[in-house]
Amino acid sequence: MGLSKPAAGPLLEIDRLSVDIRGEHGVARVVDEVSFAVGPRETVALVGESGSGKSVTSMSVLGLLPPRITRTRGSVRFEGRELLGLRSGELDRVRGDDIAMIFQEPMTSLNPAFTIGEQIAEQVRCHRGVSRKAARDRAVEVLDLVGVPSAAERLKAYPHEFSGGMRQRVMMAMALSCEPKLLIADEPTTALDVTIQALVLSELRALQERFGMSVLFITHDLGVVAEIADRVVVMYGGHLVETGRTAEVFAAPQHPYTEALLRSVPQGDTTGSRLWSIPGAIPTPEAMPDGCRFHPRCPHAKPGVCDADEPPLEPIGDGRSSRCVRREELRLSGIGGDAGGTGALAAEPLGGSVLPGGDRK
Amino acid sequence: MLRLLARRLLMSVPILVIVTFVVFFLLEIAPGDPARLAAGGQAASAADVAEARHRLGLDEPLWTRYWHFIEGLFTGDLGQSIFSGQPVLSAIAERAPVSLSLMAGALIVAMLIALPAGIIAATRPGGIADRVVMLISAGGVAMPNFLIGLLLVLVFALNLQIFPATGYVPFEQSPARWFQSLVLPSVALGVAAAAEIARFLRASMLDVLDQDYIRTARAKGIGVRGVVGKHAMKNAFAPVLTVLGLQVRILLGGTVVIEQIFNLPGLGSLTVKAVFDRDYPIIQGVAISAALVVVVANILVDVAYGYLNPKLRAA
Amino acid sequence: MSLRERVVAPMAVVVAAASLAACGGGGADPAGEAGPISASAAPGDLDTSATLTFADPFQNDTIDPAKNDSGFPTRQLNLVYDRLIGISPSGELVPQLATKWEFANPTTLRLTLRSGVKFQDGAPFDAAAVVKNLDRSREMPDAGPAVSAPAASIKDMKASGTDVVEITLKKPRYSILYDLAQNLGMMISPGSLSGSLDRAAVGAGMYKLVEFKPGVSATYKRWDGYWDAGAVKLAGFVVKSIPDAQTRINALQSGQVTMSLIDESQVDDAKGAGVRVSEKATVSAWTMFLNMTRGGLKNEQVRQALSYAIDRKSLVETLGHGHGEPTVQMFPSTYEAYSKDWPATKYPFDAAKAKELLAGAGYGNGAKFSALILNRPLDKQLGQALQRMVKPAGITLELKVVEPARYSMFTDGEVDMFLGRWGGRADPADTLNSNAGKGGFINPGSGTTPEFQTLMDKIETTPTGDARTKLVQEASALFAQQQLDIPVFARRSIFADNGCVVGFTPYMVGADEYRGVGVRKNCG
Repeated sequence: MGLSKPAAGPLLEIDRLSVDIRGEHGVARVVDEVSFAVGPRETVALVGESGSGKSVTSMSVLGLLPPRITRTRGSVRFEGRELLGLRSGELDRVRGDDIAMIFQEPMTSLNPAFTIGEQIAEQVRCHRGVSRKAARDRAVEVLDLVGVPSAAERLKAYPHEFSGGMRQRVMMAMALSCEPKLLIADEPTTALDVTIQALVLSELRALQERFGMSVLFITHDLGVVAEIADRVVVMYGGHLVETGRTAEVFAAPQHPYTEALLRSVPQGDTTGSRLWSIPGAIPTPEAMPDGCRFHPRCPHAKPGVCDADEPPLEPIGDGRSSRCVRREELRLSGIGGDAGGTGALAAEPLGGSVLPGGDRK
Repeated sequence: MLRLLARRLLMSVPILVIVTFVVFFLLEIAPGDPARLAAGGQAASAADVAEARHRLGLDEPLWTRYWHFIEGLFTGDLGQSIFSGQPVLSAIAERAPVSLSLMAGALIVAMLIALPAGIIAATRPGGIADRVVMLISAGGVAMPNFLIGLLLVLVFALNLQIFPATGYVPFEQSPARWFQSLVLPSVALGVAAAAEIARFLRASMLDVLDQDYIRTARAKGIGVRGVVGKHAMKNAFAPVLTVLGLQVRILLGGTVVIEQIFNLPGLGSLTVKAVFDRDYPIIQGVAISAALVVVVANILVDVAYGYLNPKLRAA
Repeated sequence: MSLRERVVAPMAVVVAAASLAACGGGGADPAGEAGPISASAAPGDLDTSATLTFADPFQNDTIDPAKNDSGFPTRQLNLVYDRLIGISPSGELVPQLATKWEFANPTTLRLTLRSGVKFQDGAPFDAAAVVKNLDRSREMPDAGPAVSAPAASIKDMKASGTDVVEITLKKPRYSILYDLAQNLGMMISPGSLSGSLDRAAVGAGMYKLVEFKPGVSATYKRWDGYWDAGAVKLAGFVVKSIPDAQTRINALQSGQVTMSLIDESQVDDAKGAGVRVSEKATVSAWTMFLNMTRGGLKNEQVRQALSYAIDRKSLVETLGHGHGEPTVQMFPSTYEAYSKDWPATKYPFDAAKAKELLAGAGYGNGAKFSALILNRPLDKQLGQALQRMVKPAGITLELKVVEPARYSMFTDGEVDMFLGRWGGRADPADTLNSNAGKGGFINPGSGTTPEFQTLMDKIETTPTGDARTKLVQEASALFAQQQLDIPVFARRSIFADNGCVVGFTPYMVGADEYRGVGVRKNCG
């Protein structure tokens, strides 16, 4: 199957996805009625702190959650076809072929007992049915593509012979080997240091351009989001709290959580100063507060309003939505573009460039 | 890989030397007088016994005898059986194929049972299959191999008459009957090993299936066979190898009983007879051969480890 | 369903199936209906191409007559080596390679050889061959006692023509006839005498050796040149060494052997499985061997007390599973040397009488004896049973269990008695002498009584024949009266076969021969 054709509708549609996981203390709902879509050639960033349910959401697309303790409800449609409830034989045809996934821990995500050549080639052989030699050639091709030097010799190398950044590139090569239409990247740069991170991200952008594929990028780092995402979807405590185009969301966030996340992005040179982080922690699924899930940590929380009923996700036009009932009263401050107005946040001069790579507008 | 092999071979030498030491001196301190037995046991006169002692060289000083013994090992002269006069090396060479066939058969049976059992138990932990596997494996380890052997004979040889109850047919004589004569003994000997291996494999698999690279493999869409059979197995198999190495030793000991029950003319029955006869040269020869088998098995395990885990090769 | 329910039901089915399988073959005794094993069959009914496979508990290491004991190990030897003198199933001397024997004087034996006999390699059997054989036995350095002891008593041999051999003894030894009926008399072809006879055998016997695997098996095939062609009724003979009793019977039941020796404990199972069982009395007996030079055992009353204190019938039931004969002599009642004057009923089980006798001998407070037992299951069973039995009579037995190799503790005089099995001898006088005569190898300290020794001396100088037999019976009677050892019960040899064997008569003494033994056609 060659380059993806522009689809009539969204490539990936997640509709009211809920995931219950059975743990020591009983069943917990870690993803609660999440809905969003990824269009063709689009990069969507799924953002939130750890514990927000973003990884679980991404893994449920390819059915990678442990079956015995997980119950998934709702719908995940790829090119109009329902993926949830597919038999594993059917799902295997999608995995690695139409939809590929790369993971956060490059050190442990590759099998130490096989050469990287073998690990890439087997995927090609599996989905394309070509000869061993053809598969090997393809492996060299994709390794070259992701910038692994001396690809042909390196085929026979084992994962432990590569550095973390290189391994992540190998993972990407593996994911791209069958030209997927959608790449799900679960925090692929989190475990890498900043300079490598930048390189990997730029590679990813280049490859995306070249293959015309969509990317669902999961991260907690808004700096990365600014680099590569067209649209952003923010999750908190299993809920979606805000969606919208990146530029708009960054300029004028419509939810205090998004505002807080933006605030914790380091601006310019931060050596010597303390990085700001959101006080408190995400509550566990068993201990969700009444009303808005974020209100205990929210600087704008209003008693009687925010702690009573759970606010619904409201669409606010043009692909934007928010779950904050007070959003119109609050003028939340973003970064880049207009620094917003009278928010209760003490003003620290915000503005200037976001990342060494330059602004993305 | 070659360096690994060479290193292991070198390490085996001191082990074998110690074995010859222990074998030789243990027999020295065991009660019973081989000279008397060689002279005819109960009815022998004192003169006969003294003559036998001289003939067998048992009246020489200890260290001289030990030295002769070591010399003999190098020239391949392990002495002669006190009773049959047959050279020890030839007696062992005659019987070794039987025992080795039996042990190989037992290992094959063990793997045929343990691999699927361990995998099924690990891929559905807590389910019925898992519980059944664990139950049977506990039973398999607990039941003595001779009991299993006798039950097998009862059902399959005496009642169903599918397999012979006793006897060994050499491969050269008839491959089909050779195989038939080894089925029941191999199962009897291999069941306990199967149980052990299944348990280890299950534990090892459970561990491996939790790893990140398994998640990656699943995400690649290569199917259950690829994920479990290839990716998981190669990593999970290493602890099983250790168990296999240990089992070789246990299987070797088990041949003693199994060969008696099934009347197989192997090293096990040779040993039993030699011990009761106090046929020292045979006992020594068998002990050293057994040690050799175990050492070789362990070297093979180490080499296999190197294959499974590439990081070890560089070391 | 709970886990238990899930598992128990199927398991129960498996166990039930296995038990049902075990019950297979019960009821009728089809093999037994074939008639006794000693019955003969018309020549037309025999399968002349059959091979008889025998499961033997004994393992021969070598097939050299000089290196084997006499008795059980000779089963294989008898097939290939004929002897100068033969033994009948009831223990009498009969002609074999020698047709006539007589003592020209007490130290000179003249043998007349059968003419026209050849060895299996074609060499003629003659006096010269006999002399060469006896020479080998005398000169061989590592010859076993079965051959070296009697060979040592020969002073000289002479061949007189081709058919007569004259053997001169150092002193009178009439029992040499029995020796020539066993290993010493096994005739080996002169051409093979200089080579190794551990795995090769060339004799003048019924069957030729094809292959010998020490401790495992021996394969023979019929030899058409045998001097008594009518005795060879099988095409082949295989002896398989199977020490384990259960394995032997399994082999029989699954058709891998034609015939086997089984233990007393297996008789009921064998019959239940439809196998034919044949029993015969033997000269082997469970015995309390005494060291008469120690303590109370010097006293005849004490020994007799011991004999009254044991319940022989009960031991036959338990240790022998009902197969055996209580005896107070070293022989069963059907044996020639048995004295009818001393049946076992002369020493009934009577603890009170035992106590009385002990008191009379000065042991009113009871007597204590140390007893050696070999570390084997049946021996231990005997020892423990005897220990229990004699307690009410005030007798205490201190049991010492040792490995067979340490049996010499008894012969070295370290313990009072040895509780074990007497294997039997071809010459009954040998039995009596070894156990209770001066210099007897299992008579430590040469403890004996003057009357008994007188008899033994007389027997030594009496040629074989009725007179000697009578003397032996008298000696056996005296033995019983004085309880020089305390026999418990005489054992049986028990054979199991699938009903196809004909013409086989088990031997009372030593290992059986297979003259005239065949296998029925279309059988089993």
